[in-house]
Amino acid sequence: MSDTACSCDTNAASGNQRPCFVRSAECITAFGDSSATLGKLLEGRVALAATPALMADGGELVPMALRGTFREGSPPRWWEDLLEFLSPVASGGWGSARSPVFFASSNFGIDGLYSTGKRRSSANVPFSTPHGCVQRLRESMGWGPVCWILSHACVSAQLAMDRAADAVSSRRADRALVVSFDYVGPFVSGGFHALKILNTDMPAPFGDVGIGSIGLGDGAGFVEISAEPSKFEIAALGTYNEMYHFTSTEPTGSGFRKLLEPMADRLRNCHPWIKGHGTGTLEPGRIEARTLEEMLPSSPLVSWKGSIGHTLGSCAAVELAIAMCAVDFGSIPGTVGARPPYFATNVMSAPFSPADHDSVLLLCNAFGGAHGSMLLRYD
Amino acid sequence: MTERYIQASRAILLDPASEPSEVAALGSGWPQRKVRRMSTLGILLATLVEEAPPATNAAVFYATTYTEARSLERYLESLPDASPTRFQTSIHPGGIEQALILAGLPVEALYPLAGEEYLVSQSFQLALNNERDKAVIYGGEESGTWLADLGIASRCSFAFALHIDDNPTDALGSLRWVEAGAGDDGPDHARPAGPTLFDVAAALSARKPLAWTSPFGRFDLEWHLP
Repeated sequence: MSDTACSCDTNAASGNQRPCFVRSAECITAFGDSSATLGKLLEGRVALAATPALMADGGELVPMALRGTFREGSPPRWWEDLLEFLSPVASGGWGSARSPVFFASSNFGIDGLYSTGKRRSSANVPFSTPHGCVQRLRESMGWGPVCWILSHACVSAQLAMDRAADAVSSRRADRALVVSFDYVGPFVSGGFHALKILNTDMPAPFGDVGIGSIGLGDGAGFVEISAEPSKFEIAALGTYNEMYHFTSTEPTGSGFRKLLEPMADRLRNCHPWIKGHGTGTLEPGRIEARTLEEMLPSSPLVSWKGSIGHTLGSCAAVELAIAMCAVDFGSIPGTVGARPPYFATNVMSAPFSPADHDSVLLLCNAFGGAHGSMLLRYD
Repeated sequence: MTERYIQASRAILLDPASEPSEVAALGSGWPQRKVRRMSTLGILLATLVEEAPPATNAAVFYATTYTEARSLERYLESLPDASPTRFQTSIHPGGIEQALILAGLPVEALYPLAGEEYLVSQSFQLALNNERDKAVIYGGEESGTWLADLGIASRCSFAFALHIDDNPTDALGSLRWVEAGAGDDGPDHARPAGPTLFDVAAALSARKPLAWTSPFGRFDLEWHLP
């Protein structure tokens, strides 16, 4: 076991490191904010709806959960929605060395790039790059220049939280803000459709079904990480990258073990429930569920992507906000979109009480066999 | 102040006039069925990874502003019949993932960064201050055509690798960071942007020093050996 593999094991920190906490987190999905989304998840509602794979340009009908109707244009359709969502943190004095911002997304303004590709005109160029989107966002929010942009497909937000927590725990920053957003555009939906994992079937995360599929969802989240104690302490963070195959998970589940082994002591001393990655793809879902069942047999496992869709690079921030809201509310939604038989016995379909646990293990995965994790204590 | 020591560095800067033949030569040592699916930036990074593989427990930082521009163009050109291969290779951080997958090298920590104006400062600051003993900073771009005409792609392909750790013995050089002082994180226009990724590649290639100040702190890259 290597301590270094856990990038921010704050409780085990020595020397100059200090514990850090999630002071606040909020998100938006197709259902609304974290509270509205939680309510729908507890009812077992599904936001995904049949949508043309290339949106306004047509294509096979595939499951997507969007905030509004897709349209091309500059600024892109998500711009005003995102600004409104971020307005509660706009005046926080962010973007300085002591209060940095970590932006994270898998695709940023990719529908701007899609439009640029179609028309070969400069009209959409300002929103066609990550730095272009972030620069305009910073200017609109009035934030300073000290920010980072992390983009690692569907673990993007988790990596941003990892680095934000490291900045705070190592005292380079007093607090840090993670901002993550991914709105679906034809560039992304067309690509996942070409990979055949976005198809006509609705996703059934961790369900032992014949055909795997994902649904895509719009999502955005912000997370404030601070050394100031709060109810939610970041007990451990971890990353691991299998580099086994671009789109396949290592079949024995070694990636999940390598991810969690460094925090094994932590996990033994708490009783977490697990918010899995669980997109609805078959083999990754089978490997994730069975490996977690083996490693943490008494921890219930859930996925919410069968309802709100896979919000891609923002999923770690979005689902963290929902998880914290659920803990505060007193009821954790079960897995939505799948029915028994499941790949593992600890997959939960019904809501359950957070009081039976003292922490949540949040997991996410991405291309290349990338893994990210956060163990969040709330007792 | 934080100081780390340079244990290895290498940069590859392709001549735009002879890029195809240079890429073919670089990729000739690997199975062609694999190389055919790789991007130019992926092949450049694979060359750097093969020459000096990152340790599994090293923190790997990957910085690119426009990522695999030609792959992006080809993917966009493939729509509405989207190419799954071009989609994969156009996704950030496809370049370094192609390289590490080709080499079969897992890494515990991989932090892919995007950005433009301060990207070098951002990636160097994180690498210098990361909690692991070793870090590798990879950077690079892939040349584009019509995206470059629109100002959102590089005109040339290049990549670099900079391996740093805490061991000064026999180090090639050092990289130092001093925290930004009061006022250093003021308005963007008050601070110079610092070097570009291409500037870093050129400096590593020529073993030239670099020094700059940005809102992310003061940076000094020095060489110990001629």
